Amino acid sequence: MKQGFWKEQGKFSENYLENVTVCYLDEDSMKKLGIEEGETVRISTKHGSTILKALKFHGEQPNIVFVPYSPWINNIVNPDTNGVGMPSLKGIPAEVEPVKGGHVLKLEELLRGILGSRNDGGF
Amino acid sequence: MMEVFKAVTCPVCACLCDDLEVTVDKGKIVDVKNGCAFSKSKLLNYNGKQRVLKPLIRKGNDFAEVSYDEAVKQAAKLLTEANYPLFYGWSMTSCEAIRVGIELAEEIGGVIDTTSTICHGPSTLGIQDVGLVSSTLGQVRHRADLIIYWGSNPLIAHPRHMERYTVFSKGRFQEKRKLVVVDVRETETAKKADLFIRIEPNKDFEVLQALRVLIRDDELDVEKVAGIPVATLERLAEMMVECKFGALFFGSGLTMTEGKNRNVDAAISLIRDLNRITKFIIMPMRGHFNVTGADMVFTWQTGFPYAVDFSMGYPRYNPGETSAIDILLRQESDAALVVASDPVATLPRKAAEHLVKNPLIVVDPHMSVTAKMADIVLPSTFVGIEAKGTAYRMDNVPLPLKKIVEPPTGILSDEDILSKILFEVRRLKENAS
Repeated sequence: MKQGFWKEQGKFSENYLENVTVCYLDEDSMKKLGIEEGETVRISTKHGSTILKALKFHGEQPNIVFVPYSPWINNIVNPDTNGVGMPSLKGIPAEVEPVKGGHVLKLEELLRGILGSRNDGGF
Repeated sequence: MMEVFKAVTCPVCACLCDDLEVTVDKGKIVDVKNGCAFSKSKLLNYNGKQRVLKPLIRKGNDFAEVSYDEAVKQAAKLLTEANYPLFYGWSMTSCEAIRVGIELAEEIGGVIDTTSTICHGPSTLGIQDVGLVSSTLGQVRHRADLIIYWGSNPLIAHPRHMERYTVFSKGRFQEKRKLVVVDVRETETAKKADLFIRIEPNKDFEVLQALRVLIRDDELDVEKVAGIPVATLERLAEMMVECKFGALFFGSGLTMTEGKNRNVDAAISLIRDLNRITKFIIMPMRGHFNVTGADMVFTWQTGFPYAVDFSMGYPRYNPGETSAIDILLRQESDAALVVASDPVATLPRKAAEHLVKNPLIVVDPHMSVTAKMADIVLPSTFVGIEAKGTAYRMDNVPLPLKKIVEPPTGILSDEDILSKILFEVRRLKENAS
């Protein structure tokens, strides 16, 4: 909800960025993985990895990490469209581990990664 | 002087709530009644510091302000010089603008695709395979006694869907209804459900097929399907069979997971089977406010709903081949025009990486992530706020989008900008021949 609310005010707003650089785990998963609320975690899939802040999900969600749709996860989703045009954006096998004091990329750093050497996009 | 506009259609999600009351004072929106949090956030803040107020052309690492004529000229040149340009976006603009976009893609011989391609594209494929038993949202509101949300969390993603059309609404013939939620997590919507069924990720297809067996009174010789005891599924099957009018709404929980269009096939087939016993409808929970309209206009103009390739001189449609993400992953496009969408922020990284290697033209009212990386940015008005137009609700009902305030001085609509580019492209082609 917060993601959609702040998106309407532009994707460079502080509030939007704060609400998409997070992921949600339920209490059991947090305990099992030794993750404290608000701590940074690394989420890795076979496509890549990203560092986000972990928040507690108040509901049943065993063995699932829920991440809002954003540029921070576009390197960990499965781009394969299975010949139907649609990449797999959900239900992707992933590993989650705590990374104490991990660096959540700033949007500028993230975009520079996408741009490569073409130009620096004015950042 | 304060002016109140009534029955304003909300330009945020495909619920297209058309009961907003918007108060305008001295050309500025000062109050929004009836809208959800998204609606208020957009209508009260759209004109913030992210707004682009002059056409921009990239000069090295910076943008230079130019006139619309100059930006249009450069955009037309880039597009006519390309062999296989991609025209992407379209779900957050009017049907009128989309119509011009398709004409432009045809004139140039490029590929045009909508954001459906990364959302409900698999639903369209499923519907093309097995048809669709559906209705309007008004019929659901007035008659449905069983509501199922499958892989969809309307309390968060379509905040007024339940209040206007389903469990929290009072219909003429039906005031109370049961709510079932099927999801991999106990969402906010799930917490309101009479029955919540939590299934294992990527197992929707199995559960839907199991339900098809159960509603025929056949038996399953397993104890669990996708982690759910068969007794629970039997309870759901019973609720489905015993209702008078059921409605199943599905979200990207079906389209973005394993099975994709096959999940939608299975869901529609289940509903088709149920109609031998009772009345049941199914509807995709479409996202952006005019993504349904994009499907419509594409289908009228080209015969196909999305992923249309004009490179052979006639429209071809083969999602998986002519769809935006596949083209970008195969690194085939050599220019791109993005309208009313932010693909760099939303596409898988590899696809976005190729997109920004293309000469890139963006038409958008805001400085989006994609616009930041563009070669040419053409600022446009917000349709439904500063420009009028037509949009389609998720149940395929067209609604008018109103103009309630004036746009910033000199800013053109998507439709006008695209018409100017089309005019210039035709002029360039005429001169060349």
